[in-house]
Amino acid sequence: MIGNGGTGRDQGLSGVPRAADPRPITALLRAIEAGDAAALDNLFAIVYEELRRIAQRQLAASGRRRTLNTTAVVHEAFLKLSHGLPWSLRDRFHFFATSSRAMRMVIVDHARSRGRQKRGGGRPELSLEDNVAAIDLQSDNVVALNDALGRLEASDPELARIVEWRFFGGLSVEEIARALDVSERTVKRHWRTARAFLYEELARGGFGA
Amino acid sequence: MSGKPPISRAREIFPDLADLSPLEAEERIAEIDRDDSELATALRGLLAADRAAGDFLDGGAAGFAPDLLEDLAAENAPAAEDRIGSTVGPWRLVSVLGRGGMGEVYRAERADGEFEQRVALKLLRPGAASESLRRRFLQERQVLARLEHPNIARLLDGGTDDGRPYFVLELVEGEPIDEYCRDRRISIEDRVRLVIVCCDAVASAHRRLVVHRDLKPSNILVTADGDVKLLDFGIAKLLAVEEDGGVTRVEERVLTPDYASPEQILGEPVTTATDVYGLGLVFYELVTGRLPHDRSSAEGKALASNVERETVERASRAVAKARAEDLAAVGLAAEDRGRLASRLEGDLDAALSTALRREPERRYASASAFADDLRRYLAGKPVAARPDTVGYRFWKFVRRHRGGVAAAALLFAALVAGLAGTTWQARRAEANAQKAQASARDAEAQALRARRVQEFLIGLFQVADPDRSGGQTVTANALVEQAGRRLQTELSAEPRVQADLLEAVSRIERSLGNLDRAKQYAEKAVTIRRAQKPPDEAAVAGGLAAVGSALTGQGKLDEAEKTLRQSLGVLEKHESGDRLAVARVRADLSLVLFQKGQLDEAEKLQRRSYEAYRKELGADDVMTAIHLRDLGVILEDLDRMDEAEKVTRSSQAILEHKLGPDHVTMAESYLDLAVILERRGRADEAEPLYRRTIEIRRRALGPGHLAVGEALQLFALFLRNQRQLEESEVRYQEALAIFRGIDPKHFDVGKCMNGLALLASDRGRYAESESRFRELVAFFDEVLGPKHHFTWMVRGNLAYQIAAQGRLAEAEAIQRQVVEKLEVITGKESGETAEALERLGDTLRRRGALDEAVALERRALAAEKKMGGEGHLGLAAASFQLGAALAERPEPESKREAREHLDRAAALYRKLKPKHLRLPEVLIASGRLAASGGDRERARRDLAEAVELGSLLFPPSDPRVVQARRELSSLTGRSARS
Repeated sequence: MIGNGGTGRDQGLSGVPRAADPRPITALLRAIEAGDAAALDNLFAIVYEELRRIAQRQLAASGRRRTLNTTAVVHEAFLKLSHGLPWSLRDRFHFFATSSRAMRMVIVDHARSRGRQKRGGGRPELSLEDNVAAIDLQSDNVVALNDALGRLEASDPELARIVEWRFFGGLSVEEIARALDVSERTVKRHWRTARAFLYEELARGGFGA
Repeated sequence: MSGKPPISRAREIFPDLADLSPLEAEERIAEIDRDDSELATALRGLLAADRAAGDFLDGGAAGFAPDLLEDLAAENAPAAEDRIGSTVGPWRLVSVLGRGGMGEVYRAERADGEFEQRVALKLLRPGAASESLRRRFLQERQVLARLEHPNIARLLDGGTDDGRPYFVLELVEGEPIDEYCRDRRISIEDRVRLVIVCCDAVASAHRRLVVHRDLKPSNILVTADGDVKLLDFGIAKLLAVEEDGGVTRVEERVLTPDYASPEQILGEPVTTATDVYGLGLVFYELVTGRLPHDRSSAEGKALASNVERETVERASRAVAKARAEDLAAVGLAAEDRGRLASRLEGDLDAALSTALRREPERRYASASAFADDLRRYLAGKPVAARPDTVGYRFWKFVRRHRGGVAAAALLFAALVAGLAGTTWQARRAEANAQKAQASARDAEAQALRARRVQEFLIGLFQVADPDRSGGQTVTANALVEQAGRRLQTELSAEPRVQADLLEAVSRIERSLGNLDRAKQYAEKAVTIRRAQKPPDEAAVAGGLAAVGSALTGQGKLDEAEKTLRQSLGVLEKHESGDRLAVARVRADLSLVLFQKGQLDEAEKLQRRSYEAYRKELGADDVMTAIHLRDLGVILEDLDRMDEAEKVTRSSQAILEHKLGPDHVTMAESYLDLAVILERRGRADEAEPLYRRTIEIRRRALGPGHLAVGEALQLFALFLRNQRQLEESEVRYQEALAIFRGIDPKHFDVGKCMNGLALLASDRGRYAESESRFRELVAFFDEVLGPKHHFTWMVRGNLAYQIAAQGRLAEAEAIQRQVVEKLEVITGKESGETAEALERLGDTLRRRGALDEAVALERRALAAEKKMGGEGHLGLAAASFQLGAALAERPEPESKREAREHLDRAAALYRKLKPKHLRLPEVLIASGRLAASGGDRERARRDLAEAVELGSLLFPPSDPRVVQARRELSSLTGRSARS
């Protein structure tokens, strides 16, 4: 009953490698640990595809207006790609890092493409109830957030990672703490700091809600 | 300090500041400002942002940009989304549920909004099947709509839309069984349980003559609650395109070769065995992570020839060398391989290879049989699946074919019974019409009714046609069940025919043991008849009789008697009507009275019934002979043995002549005669009849049938009475297994356990007997409860075993309680109470409490005497116990009285049951009494007889016999010396 791959959409996937690596996930993880950059790219490609597919199915299956649950998507991808096998801490770290990054790419790519459509097609009439308007606004916010996150990354990659994992990857504080091998308290403190940083950045740019 | 960016310097301090009050925080920042103004500025900015941020970003991307994310997912869904909102047949597509090789699946709703129904609509790729699909669906829809089972997603609609076939199914929210097992790391045991649920659902569909043909993990969904739902029942068949030769070839198009059965690939007929194979495949995959064969590379002819050669690797071996990815795909860990393999080895290997045999006829005979074996595995019992040997194959071949023959025979009998009733009625009506010259129309109407009945029965037979039912011979049971279901709605334009047939089906269901349905159909018939204007009183009474008959089967004797008497009253008023109907009700009522012990009236009614049949149908008729046979049973119970034997034998001769000696009905005749012969002391003649009965029933009804269990149990009892203890135990065990298989709480389970416990006691294994009785006590406590006298009587048996092991105080305590309870439940003078008193008295005697022992035994004897009759075993037992207690007292008058009672006991046993277990004990007591009185001659004689008989009845080590032998030799020794 479930779809068998292929997303049917080919535009706007900047910098995403498309070919799936035939190696099993565990082998890729080993290679990544050994410093194989190509393996990381390939893992990313696999995860990216998987996330898109799951995201699409998840939303389609809900049937009514419901938003995408990134937590569920990443976890489903994790289960699917890990085949339910227990992974080492290192593997888990790589997977969460990769999948959260991929999820971020999926979302930001989409926000950018919406922005292009908007600018290309001229602004439609604005209305508060209008879904199109909401999507446009949210697209802008997501792109702005992504840029701000890029600035945080440049200053403090550790803080940025927590945002990426929690915000885009949908991971819980507990999961992040375990994968990073730090206390949950540390994760919460970092999150609060990073959040304040990003709010300040976005407020400076004048974002709307 | 300025090496790190301010945010990195801030992150260690900021969270602490954020928890302070603004004033305190500002104080701290002011301090920092003195050394590091850049950091202070950053902290001030962060603090302000933190206060303004609220739950900013806390909801993740979904909270931050909900519409964008929804849009993202929606945009990624390809063309299928475009159909959302459009209609397919009467259905409107609501959303996309999924996509597969066959097409898309949508959530849909009724476009006309007529009723709210959430369904899944499968829109398939255009194909050859499309054109006739709608027609085929309409043909099959009645069958498919009847597939009501909690584990089957119902098929609601089907047709074509714009050249694309579609099906509408009950909506199921779940995931495929393999993913479910993987994601939740389901244990092997629970996987077995899931497969059992699937088997049961498939078996239920098979009973309704629907074969799935396309079982695979994606068609078996498991919901979050763990409920299994099978999808797509009947679809594969609907999509099948008949070739000119009548061979279906479609499967190639529709099915993935991976999950197809050999017969599907080879274009051989698809049967229920095909689904057994499919279930086997699913199970195999769930426990090994792979399929037993690799068909991915071959196509067409190559595939077919490969399939011919395909062998199934044992699951345990497959799992031992499985790849980690394969195992992981079903949630199994590679490091558990060894453990997994040993779990599969043996029973599960055997079960899987039986389900996956290349030849359909060598697989499990049904999905239920597969399920039963898996249940046996879970229960830790050996499975029925056997290694594939030539002998076994032959045996199974024979069994299958015999089963088919038996089912056909039963079916035919049912058909004849149904028709006989109506043709007889038609004939009768004709005769009436002529006599009364009343109306030719009446006769015509009757003839019409007979025709309608015929049509209905023929319709049933057509469904039973193997081609229509998927190749498996339909069991009589399934056929009758179907008849009953159809009658609920069909033929309602002909209410009289409908009611007639409902009554007929009710009686058939009654004889098949489906009592609830029997009652339900009979009641429906009564309702229909009462609704007629004007109601036909006699017909209503006929319906009531069927209700009464069902009630009898349910053991509700008082209710049954009332209903039957009411029915009989009405029918007797219409004596001109159907005489056989009256006769049948009399026979039914006779049965109720027989069960209630009112034998005289039972006999009278049965005789009248028999006479009526003899007059109407002739003495040679089967039904007449059966009524004669039933009369024999009543006569036997009335102890009129000569008459009973004569009647039983003449009935048997007629039936043998009409039906042949192997007919299932003959089993009852042989059994009746065996019981009579046994009671007349002709055990040698009885034994072969018992064996014959069991053989016939096993063959005709199947080895697990209730009637086989009953025959085995009676035979076991016979064997025990004949002191053939070893075979008796074997037969009891066989019977026990059957009853347990039918219902672990079946009353007969208790009867068998009791028999086995008594056998152990017979063989002097009191400890074993004790533990068996303890088990039985627990069983009756649960099944019958504390208000049933059996519950206490088995405690009495238990106490006896305890006393036999010398634990007299323990036995006494139980026996006192038993007496107390039985006095309340059965009355102070009942046979049960008397027996309990005898046993308590026996224990007290052995403990030396002679006064109380004598007093109790007197009470027991008085009760036994009141029970009526001078000579019954209870009287013998009470006489013995009283005599034994008195014999131990010193006074001469006690000894005299003891002699009187012991002599009576011995005489009664000799007369009633010369091999009774008690007789040696009576003789020992008698011998000792004689010895104590100086009558050494008598003592020697009695003891010698006791030793002789005891050696025959008891094991050589029995302490009673050993002691008696010692006493005898000392007597003889002394006499030799003197």
